[in-house]
Amino acid sequence: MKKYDVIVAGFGTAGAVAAIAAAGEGASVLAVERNTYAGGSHTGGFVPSYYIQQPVGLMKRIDELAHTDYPQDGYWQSLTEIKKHELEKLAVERGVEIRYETAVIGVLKTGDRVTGVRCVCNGEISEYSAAVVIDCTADAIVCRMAGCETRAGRTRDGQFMPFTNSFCRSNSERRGTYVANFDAGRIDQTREPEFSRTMLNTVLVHLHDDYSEHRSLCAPSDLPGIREGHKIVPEGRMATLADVLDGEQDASEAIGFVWSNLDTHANDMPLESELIQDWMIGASMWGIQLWFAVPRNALIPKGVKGLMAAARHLGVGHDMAYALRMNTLMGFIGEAAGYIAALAAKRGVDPIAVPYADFAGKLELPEKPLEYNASLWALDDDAIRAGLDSDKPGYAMWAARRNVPVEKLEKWYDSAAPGGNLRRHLAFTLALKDSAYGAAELRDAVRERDEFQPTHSRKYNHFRGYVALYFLGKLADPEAVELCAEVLADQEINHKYEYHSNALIALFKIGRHHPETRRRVSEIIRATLEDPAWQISSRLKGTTDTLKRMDAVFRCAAACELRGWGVENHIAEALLANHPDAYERDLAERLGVIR
Amino acid sequence: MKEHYSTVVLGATWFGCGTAAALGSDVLVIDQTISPGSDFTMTFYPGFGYDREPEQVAARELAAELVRRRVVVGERVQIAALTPVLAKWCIDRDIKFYFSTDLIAASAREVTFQAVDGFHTVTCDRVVDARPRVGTDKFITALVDFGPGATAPTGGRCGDFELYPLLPENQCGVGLAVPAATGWVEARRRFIDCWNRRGAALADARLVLTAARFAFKHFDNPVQALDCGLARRG
Repeated sequence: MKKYDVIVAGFGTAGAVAAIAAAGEGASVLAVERNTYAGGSHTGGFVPSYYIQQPVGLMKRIDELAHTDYPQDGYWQSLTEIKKHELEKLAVERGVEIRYETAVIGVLKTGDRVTGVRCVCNGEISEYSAAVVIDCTADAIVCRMAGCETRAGRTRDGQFMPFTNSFCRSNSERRGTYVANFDAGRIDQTREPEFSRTMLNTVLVHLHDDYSEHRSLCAPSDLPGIREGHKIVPEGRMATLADVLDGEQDASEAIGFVWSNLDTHANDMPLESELIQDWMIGASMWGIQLWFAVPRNALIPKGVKGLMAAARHLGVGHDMAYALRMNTLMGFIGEAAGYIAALAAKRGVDPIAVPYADFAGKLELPEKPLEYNASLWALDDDAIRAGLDSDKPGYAMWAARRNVPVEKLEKWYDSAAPGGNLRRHLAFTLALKDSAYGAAELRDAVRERDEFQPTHSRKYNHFRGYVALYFLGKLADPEAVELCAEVLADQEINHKYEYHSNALIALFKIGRHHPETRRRVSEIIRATLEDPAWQISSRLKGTTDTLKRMDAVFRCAAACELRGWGVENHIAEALLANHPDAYERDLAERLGVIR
Repeated sequence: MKEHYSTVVLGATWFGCGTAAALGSDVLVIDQTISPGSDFTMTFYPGFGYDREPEQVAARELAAELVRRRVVVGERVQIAALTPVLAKWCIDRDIKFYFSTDLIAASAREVTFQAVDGFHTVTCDRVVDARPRVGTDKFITALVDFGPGATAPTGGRCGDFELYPLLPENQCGVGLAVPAATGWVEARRRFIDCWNRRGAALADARLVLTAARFAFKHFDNPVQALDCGLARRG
């Protein structure tokens, strides 16, 4: 069996850079890839762009070379195609052995050490050994085969972010390609037959009566457009979103920093974590960009030696993954993984044993990024009050959440005029700090269906009425029960999806914390959700008019909640009466809502 | 998943989809890609002879649908549009697929593969191998564009390249023959090499995309392949 210094499993965005980096350090590298080209989502997935943050380090140099080696005369200036060639060309020049159409079907292990991989190519099985294997499969496939601990999706129900339906379009005027990239619904890419049914059905979005009006469609992607999958549990501490938002990031061994907002594609936000909802809904902070440190240990799976993970399955929390999944990140984690693996192989040590100082100098790191984050919240009392009293309250809310004691906020609240911006945003801020001092103001905002919308986020600023409802749920305010019932009874309510979904979740939380309310809460939930006519839809991100029915997901959540309280219900029947799609049916079965 | 099927079809090719439709409901089709028909849809080789009427009714209906939807106009084809039309055809016939699979072993009565949910061994009464037939040569193909308002060639050759008629009219497919045993690295290297030496007819063209699958040209066109599958003719 041939032995390599490094095996890279998955020659996608991160994997290709990892292989190039490792080989550039003199390592013997084998790259195995079940598809037929390099670059993964970045090339064949038709997502050549960099979201907000431009590439750094080796990826930046690769892009420059791509434009030089494949000039505009003869090639479209789209990284989609030229990057596919450049990544392969560089890898081959550096001596990487590439095996396409080769899928990993197992790992070789000795005790707790991974020593290689078993692969299949055209029905032939082969084994390859290495000092270090880098899992760049994007779904921790090799890590899971090796028995590593992984996490899957969000805490509540294990759901991943919606996937994207990628279709390449051509623009002859601009002599370039672009991707028709929009959310296509939820998927669990590790479950069959739902995965295949979803793949088959999603193609129908591009079925047209007359293709003469759609001549720009030039190729479907051969990748499923997955945004999120399994994540490794890392050796040491897992970095979380709370670290970022509370200013506690450990950047001492950062392999890079991501500059991004939390670009979530979740369209069922009320089912996400409370921290995410505080940020996204409560303070309307979707568009706010921060620096996220990526620690070295996020590439090291816990308890298994000889193995690294470098792709979107890196070891960070689900919430943080909304920012940590873009092409720039893939470039620099691939680069870091390549350097670390090469050094580890050369020295005969485990990747975690390679001192940070021995590879950090090769990485392009920004200058004091976390100081920028800190500066966002360094507002004095006057600035906070002014911000709260404005149409851009988000930064002030978050700064107050971090730095202003509840007692001071209560004093400000008492002196502010009811119904005004200051009072309402103070009520929100108090709720962020788990104080119900402003609950009466929150209830008023819901009753009024407050249509105020802040303007500090470049997109997805939320209307105050249903934000107040979110906070009443966070506070588990028992006095909000009948208010929730009124909201759910109102089928003509503006922002129906946001009001109804937040009302339901608020009822769950109230019932959880106040058992004496469960009888009435259950009545309200059952009256709404057992009626098959109750339907809610949310616009899928990236589309202007594609609505996704969301009632199945919330019926599942409700059925589970009531089951936990020992309340018999017929929500499942209403779910089935609404013809759930393959994914929703599978979700309902997994959660035990239907058999 | 079920442990036994009457038939397992290896390859969701056009021939494979036709075969599955002909054999009824107890059929499983497995494929390495994520959509049916990749033997044509993931290449830029459209085939020829779309005016020849298929034998089987279902294939004739599909051929007519491709014309009605203007996927096929004369001899030109919008290859990207073939995928959704075939997907609908398969959905209408309730063909069962496992996509994104890696075949590990296949005998006359048993197939082992890795799917997204792990390993499966299924038994069956028969296995139909519908994967592209590998002859002496295969073709690495690409989409090229001649710029706004131009008219791309509808056939013929330009140096090392064959030219294929596609839609929109300012685009065409190009194909380079490589020996069947050629791997992707070498095939792409040869392609780029030939592209950089391309002849006068392609001088103003620019390379848009190279295909993710080789073209094997066993069938004249995808509808003919589907027709053969429906007729159970290999």
